Amino acid sequence: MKDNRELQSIYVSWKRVMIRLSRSKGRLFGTMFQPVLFLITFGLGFRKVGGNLEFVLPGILAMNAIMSSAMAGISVIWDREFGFLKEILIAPVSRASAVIGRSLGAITTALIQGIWIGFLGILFGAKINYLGIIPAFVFLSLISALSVGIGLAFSSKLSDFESFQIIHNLIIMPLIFLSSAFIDVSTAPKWLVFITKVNPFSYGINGLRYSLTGTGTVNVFFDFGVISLFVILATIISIRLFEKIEV
Amino acid sequence: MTEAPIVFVKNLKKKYKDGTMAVKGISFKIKKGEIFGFLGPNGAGKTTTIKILTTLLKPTEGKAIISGVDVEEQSHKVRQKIGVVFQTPALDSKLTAWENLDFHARLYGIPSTRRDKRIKQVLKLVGLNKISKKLVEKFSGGMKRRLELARGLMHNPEILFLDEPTLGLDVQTRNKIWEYIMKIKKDENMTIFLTTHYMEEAEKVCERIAIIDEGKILKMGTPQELIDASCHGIITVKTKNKIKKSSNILNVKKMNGKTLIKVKDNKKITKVISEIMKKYEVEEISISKPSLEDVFLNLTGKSIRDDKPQKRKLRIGRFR
Ligand SMILES: Nc1ncnc2c1ncn2[C@@H]1O[C@H](COP(=O)(O)OP(=O)(O)OP(=O)(O)O)[C@@H](O)[C@H]1O
Ligand SMILES: [Mg+2]
Repeated sequence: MKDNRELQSIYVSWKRVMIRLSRSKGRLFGTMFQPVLFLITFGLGFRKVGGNLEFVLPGILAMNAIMSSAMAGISVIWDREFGFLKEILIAPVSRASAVIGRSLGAITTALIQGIWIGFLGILFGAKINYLGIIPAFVFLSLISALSVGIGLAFSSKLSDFESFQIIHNLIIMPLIFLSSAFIDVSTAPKWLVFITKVNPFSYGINGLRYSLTGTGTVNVFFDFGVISLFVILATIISIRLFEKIEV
Repeated sequence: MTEAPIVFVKNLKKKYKDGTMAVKGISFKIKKGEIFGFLGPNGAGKTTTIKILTTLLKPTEGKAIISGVDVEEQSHKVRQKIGVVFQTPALDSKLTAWENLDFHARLYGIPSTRRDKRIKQVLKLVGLNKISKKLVEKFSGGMKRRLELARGLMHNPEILFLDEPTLGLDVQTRNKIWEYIMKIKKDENMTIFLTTHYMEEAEKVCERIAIIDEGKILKMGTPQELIDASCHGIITVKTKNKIKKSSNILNVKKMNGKTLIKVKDNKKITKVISEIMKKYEVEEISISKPSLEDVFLNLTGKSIRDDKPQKRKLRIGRFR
């Protein structure tokens, strides 16, 4: 076990994400501070127009997980630019293990951030269902995994910094804002509801919201199934594309 | 002689997606334990060849076999057998030297019982053991190259690929790097395939050289063979006599009051000298032996250093 190369590869790829996170003061600070901003604007700011913290908190959790994990996926572009990708690509291990390790790193990051955001949310007065915390972790992990997969898949194909902007602005941001993260399907117009329904993230977010607040969804198991399916799909696709990378 | 070559390349071609023919059908073999060098100017196709041999790129045509394993069909198996130092850095600068090596050790399946020992060993070999806990971003160019060298050989590969291992380094550091390379070669009896466009280094270090330009191998052999095959030694004589051509002399030229004699066969250069000393009244005599530089000039009609400084700067500064 200890000397199994594939497991070691998953482990070091994960560890590398963690080390890099712990050494990046900017990202650490952003991680701490950004959710406060989100909670104030989306949570407290929207209260006047009928929004409530319980609805918004899962949205913020999901948004944060999607953004931070997409970034972890897209970081392949950085590795390519700074050359380290060559070291990964010529190693005698499957590229799947590199992808899985990186994904696990991103999920861990998203969960740590999630705990912090949840803590802040409670501090701001959100009432959550403590029994739902474990399933909430599960849904948050799935959301994160899907986002990493999308980031990885795109950055395996596109190779420069410009593509980073494209992936971020044209894919990740719309996926966040056209999901059930901040769109209340009970009041939104039909076409918008339709869009949220074809967005796989919505199912993860619905599951997350139901776990934490007991509202908003018909069937958590259905949500779980749909998001899991997309996670598997995205992971397979990203591994395939990662395997095809040439430098 | 019958031992199978460790590298066998046949009619290798690479066409990039944008249509550039970077490698236009090259063939060569490398023997076990040999230091083999690719010598060629910018854009010759050296890096492209290395990338194909190290499984980073797929060849468009042709075959490459390393230690009996096909590079394209069994890339996974090849990867375990090779160590690589790329032309452009391949380190994670946010990790320490130790962490970079630990990452490598685990990917290459060095068992936990030997891992730390081996990391220490290679760090010591390249003289970085005292700063192993330092972030790589704080390293100088030479230190980074040494770290990559240590990493490249830590899993005891059968063959080490070094793509311009001394590019962009100052003379002292370059000498230091060669010292390490020669030491590795001696200690671990490793086969080494390197590329360079420093003539003197190629001549000094490589047992066999292929001169490559525009994707083709122009000539291959030991440095001496290459020189002898395409260049002629020149004897410069100061004398009042008129020197006549003989069977060992290719031509005779007068320049600035001195006579320049081109020798037909470099091996006979001493014979020609004694001939001249006997026949004529010689005031001064000197010989200039041709170098690889001359070989290159003869083969391509251009100096390998043409347009070099500018292009190199661009590459080094290319952090985008
Ligand atoms: N990814 C790429 N796409 C298209 N063309 C490329 C690519 N990489 C290299 N080339 C072209 O292929 C040719 C050979 O490049 P290569 O990098 O192999 O040369 P080299 O001998 O290593 O040169 P140098 O001494 O500058 O490192 C050059 O004309 C180069 O412009
Ligand atoms: Mg090169």
